[in-house]
Amino acid sequence: MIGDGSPKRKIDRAIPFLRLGTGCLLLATCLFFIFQSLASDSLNVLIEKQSGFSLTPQVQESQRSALRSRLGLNQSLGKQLGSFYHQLVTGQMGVSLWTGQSVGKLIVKQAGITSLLALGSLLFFILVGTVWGFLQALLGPSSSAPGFFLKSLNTLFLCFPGFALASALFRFTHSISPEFLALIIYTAVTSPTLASLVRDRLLEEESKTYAQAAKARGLSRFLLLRKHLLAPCVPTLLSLIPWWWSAYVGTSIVIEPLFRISGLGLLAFEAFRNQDPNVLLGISLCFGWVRLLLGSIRDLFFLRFSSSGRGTVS
Amino acid sequence: MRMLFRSLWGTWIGVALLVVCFKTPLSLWMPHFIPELIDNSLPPLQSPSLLHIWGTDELGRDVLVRLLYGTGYSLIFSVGVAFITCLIGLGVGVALSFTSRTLKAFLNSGTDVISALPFLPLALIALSFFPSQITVLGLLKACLGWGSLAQVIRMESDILIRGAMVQSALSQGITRFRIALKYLIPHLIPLAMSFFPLLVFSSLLTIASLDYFGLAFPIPVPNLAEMFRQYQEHPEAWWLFVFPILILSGLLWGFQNIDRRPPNRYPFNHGTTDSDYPRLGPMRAGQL
Repeated sequence: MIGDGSPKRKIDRAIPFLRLGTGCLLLATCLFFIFQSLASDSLNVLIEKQSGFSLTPQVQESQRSALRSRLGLNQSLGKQLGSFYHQLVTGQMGVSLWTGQSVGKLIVKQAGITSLLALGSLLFFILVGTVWGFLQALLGPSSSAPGFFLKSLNTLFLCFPGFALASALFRFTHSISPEFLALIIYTAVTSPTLASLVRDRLLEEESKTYAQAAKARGLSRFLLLRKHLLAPCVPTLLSLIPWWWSAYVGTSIVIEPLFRISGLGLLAFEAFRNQDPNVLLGISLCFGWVRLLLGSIRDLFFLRFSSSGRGTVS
Repeated sequence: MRMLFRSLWGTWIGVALLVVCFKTPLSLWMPHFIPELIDNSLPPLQSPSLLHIWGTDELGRDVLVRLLYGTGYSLIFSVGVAFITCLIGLGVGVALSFTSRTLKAFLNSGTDVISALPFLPLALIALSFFPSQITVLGLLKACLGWGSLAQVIRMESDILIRGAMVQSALSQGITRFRIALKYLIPHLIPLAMSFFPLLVFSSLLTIASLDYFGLAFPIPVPNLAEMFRQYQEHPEAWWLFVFPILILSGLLWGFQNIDRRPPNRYPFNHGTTDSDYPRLGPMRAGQL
């Protein structure tokens, strides 16, 4: 029998961290090459735009090579990759072509509000999604009127794009705080998915023998669902966290510029408008790393659940 | 109710694709059916009337015609992206299942990384270099969207490889490439196709998000999200919100609720013949 402190268990626990480290490195490399492949043909156009003056044919080449060397683009690909890693380790992430500041500093400055909104959104996602799913399961199958209503509402929000909801709520920005409106939109976009999965999971658990036995012994349906069947939904919830982050990122890039919330979404949009791909690269990297981190946290929780034998691993 | 909705959904998609395919003859035959046509006889932002059933936008263009063309263009883009994503996912998934365990672990991490790449910031980078290049956006979306499909295909492909059919073929000296081409891929196509509607859903949502800022289809090509932006500036023009949201949500609903179950008789636990799979008919390992 393998004990808790056995080498195999230690290796098992270390695997998510190893995967996270490798994943972060791979992600950075992958983004670097995507950036290089996208920039290879059109970089001249970008340099001309950033230089702030028109390049006459006579001086074009010298100015271009000066700009290239200033941006470090005249080096070999290997050296550029090396300096990219170095900048990542030092936290600089390159220099913004738009403001001239370090990309790392720009991101740290704007990340606060995005992090707060993300935490709030995660909380609402879990609360609203679980309660909504629970109510859908409690009110019975779709054939009953309340069940049909809740299920239809769920389906409606599943297919309601975040930007459409934002344009509908935009008129309330004078009376309601934009951050609160953004939270409503994030919740409306993400929680229906969790609600439908929680509902399906609860109904599946309810059909199992132990739940039927509990019912036969007189336990009310509400108590059965709340006290005994909600716990097996935790893995479902955990498995959705990385997905939630992707949905949150996708929505925030649309919502933050719209409501002028000074977070990373707005920074990304402003960087795009000012032709600053370095900042966009830094933001993509941050978003990707958080996604990988959340995936690792999910794996760790799964490991804990499976080792304690309390939940089921999906 | 559901049947009615499905037939409406199918009719709308069919008409939208037809009008996009036959745009030139249609514009000659019905001049009012041009999406870029501005009705100068009336002021812009006309509410729904007999002349313009779904009203006009802020430039005086017919909302119904623009939504119809916008559906067609967005669908062609989304279906194309979903098709390329399916091809990549199928190919990578099958290739992953034939690699060694160490390489598989490494490639699995690579697949996780691809899934973790955020599309919208990368799309903004791509658009910085290639403004309004819808093809680049489509390729980028396809290149980033195959991760989960490849994982599922790899798992099912592993099961097929462990089966007696593939083991028998391998023992007869048939190459892995041939087995993949003649046996695995045809068997896994239905599974890949079951992902297809969800991929179309995702592409449709993405392209609409970018269109909301006027970043995907070049102006004045009609799209599904431009009206929301106009509605934001003219909140009194309810028809600029109600009809587009009906169409967009209806389209998304339809793709999400398409019956996408893979075939029931899935050939997992078969012997050396493959008579369970009706489309390919009986097959022996030697025939690969």
